[in-house]
Amino acid sequence: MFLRATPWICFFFVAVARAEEGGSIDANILMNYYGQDGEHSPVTAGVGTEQLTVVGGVAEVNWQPVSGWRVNGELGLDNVTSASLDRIDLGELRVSGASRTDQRIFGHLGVERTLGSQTFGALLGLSSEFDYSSVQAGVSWSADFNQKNTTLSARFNQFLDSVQLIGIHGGGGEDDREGEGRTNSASRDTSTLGASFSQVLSRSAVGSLNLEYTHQWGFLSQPFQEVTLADASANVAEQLPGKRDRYAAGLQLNLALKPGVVQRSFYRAYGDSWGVHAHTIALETHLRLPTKRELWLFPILRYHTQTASDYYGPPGAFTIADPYFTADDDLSGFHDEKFGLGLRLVQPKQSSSLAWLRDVEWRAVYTTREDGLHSFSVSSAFHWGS
Amino acid sequence: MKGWRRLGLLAALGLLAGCGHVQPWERGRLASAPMQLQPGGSERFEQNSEIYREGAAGANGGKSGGGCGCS
Repeated sequence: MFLRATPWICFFFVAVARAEEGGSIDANILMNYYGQDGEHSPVTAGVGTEQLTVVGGVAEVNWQPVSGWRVNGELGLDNVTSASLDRIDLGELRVSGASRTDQRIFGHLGVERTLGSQTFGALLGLSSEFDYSSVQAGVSWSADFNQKNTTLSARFNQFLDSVQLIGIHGGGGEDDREGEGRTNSASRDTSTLGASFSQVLSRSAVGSLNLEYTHQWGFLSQPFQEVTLADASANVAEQLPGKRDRYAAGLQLNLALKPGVVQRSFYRAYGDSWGVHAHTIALETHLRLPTKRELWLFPILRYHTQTASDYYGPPGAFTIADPYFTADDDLSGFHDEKFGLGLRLVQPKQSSSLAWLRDVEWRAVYTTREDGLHSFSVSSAFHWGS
Repeated sequence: MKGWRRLGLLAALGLLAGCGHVQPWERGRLASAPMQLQPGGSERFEQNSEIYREGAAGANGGKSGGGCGCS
């Protein structure tokens, strides 16, 4: 795992060293704690604990070695402790006590070239966890028009993922009918095509429209998630189609209502080929506090509602004759609400040196879902440089 | 499906209709940190958890699939 991180670590130190020689560099350190609990884990057919904690950190570097070129990279690590994963039946090694811990390491390296008003970009990324690995490649383009009042952009990303088929009995999933405990793998690939249109609307308003199409194919089930069928004596693994097409349209509108008051509003409509249709609204009102330093306080509100997938049902809803079924509540019909508070400290630019802490942000949010799932997340972001 | 497509089209037309031409020296209020269109750095963690706790994803500046077992 750490061998895979070596290029990113090298890039970070080279970028820092060269920036000190006169280049331009930005760096971000991001940290997060996420905890959730609920009683509908799909790992135990929709009736077990969903307790989960994730402690994560990401380091990002954005370096301009020469005018017109930018190189960026990130390296991140998530430490996941999951009670539900611990309840995967591992045959003779079945455990139900202490939670299972997993790590995910991920990163990417990208380059951007600006020619006049246009910017072209490309990136390569990797992600690895105990039962999952992913390779990402992407290209992007953006162009400014109308004295930078209008920006058009497009991007394409391809993920080539591999999932270990750890089945509901702890062996090789569907391909382990002999019970030999082998863990075969299967591919899960994702293509994402996105386009954005950003527009300065007035001296105090800016908006953007984002469109995104995602095509996924391969093994899209989670091999260790169980379903209780109406006519089967034992639980079986969930079955989901091998293709999924997803469409999303998002609208962002930021309004400076008066000095020191900014309203950020976001709306998204979503639909996919599995029957999920969703609407999401997020609102943040940023209030500048009457302090000497530029300090913003903002309440966070988000509401999400979605219809159930055609393949979702509670225990006993499907029979062995049905081709597809899942007990994963993430694919059920529900609404959830997020409440939170954020604080952001912005310091005027005095130096582009990495020694200069430019921007600090904290966010704490609580989310509650209709089926009882609830989560708490605390995040920090530290930004150095220009 | 048709509903949200129409809504997206209307939103796009609304943005285009409101296209302003703001000079660089008139953008003081647009330059403040909360007015930036990109989400803040720490928001990405929330977006990541929402990707796998909801059936919907995408069009919000975050990623929309791949790279994670999301168990």
